[in-house]
Amino acid sequence: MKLLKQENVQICETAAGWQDAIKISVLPLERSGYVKGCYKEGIIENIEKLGPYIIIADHIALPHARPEQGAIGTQISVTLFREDIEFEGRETSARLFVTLAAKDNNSHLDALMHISELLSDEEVVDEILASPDVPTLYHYFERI
Amino acid sequence: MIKKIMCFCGSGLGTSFVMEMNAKKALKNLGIEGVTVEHSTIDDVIPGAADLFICSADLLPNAQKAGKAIGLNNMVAVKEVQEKLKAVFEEDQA
Repeated sequence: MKLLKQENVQICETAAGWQDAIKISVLPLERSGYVKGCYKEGIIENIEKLGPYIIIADHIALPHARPEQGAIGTQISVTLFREDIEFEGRETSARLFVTLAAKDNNSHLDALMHISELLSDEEVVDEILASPDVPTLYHYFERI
Repeated sequence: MIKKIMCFCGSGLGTSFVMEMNAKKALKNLGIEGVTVEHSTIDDVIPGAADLFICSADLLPNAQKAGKAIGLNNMVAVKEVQEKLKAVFEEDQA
């Protein structure tokens, strides 16, 4: 199963705060019908309640919420911001948003495993962050 | 004795699974056997649910209310969780 489409990969200059960055990163999934409009609000509410637990490493965020918070299908979108997005109460900021919608507890685990392996190499992360265009950025995630 | 580890994030879906995977790799690298690792949501984090909890650094205060806990800044790399698990298990066996 292919969980990432090139049309759901985007590069943006910046966002007006982390809430806006989340909304931008969820937009491709919303547009292609994988999540309901309330999904992004679910992610934002979770972060407001629990802190930015979606930051999985320096520069990398994995925005996601529970299936019952508005996920329809299982799919991923990738958003690279050219500027750091700051989260309150967290020293590190994020530029790469790998946004996940999961319709159940299992369908996304293979993809997550690949994402995690890919992003565990800091040199690769630096290369990804420097992607000049969408096809280059997509190429890194193509296996997913 | 630590026999059961629970990794958790806010949703119990994404980050917690990645942590579970890396915790298992770390235990294997450390040669520690006979420990079960599972992932769950923050709602399941209650005293007695596991012998050790692993979560993101932000959620550490929640975890510490339930028991022994490790907070991670980097959840995709094995290195940090391995170092922290090593310290906890050394203390556990002392």
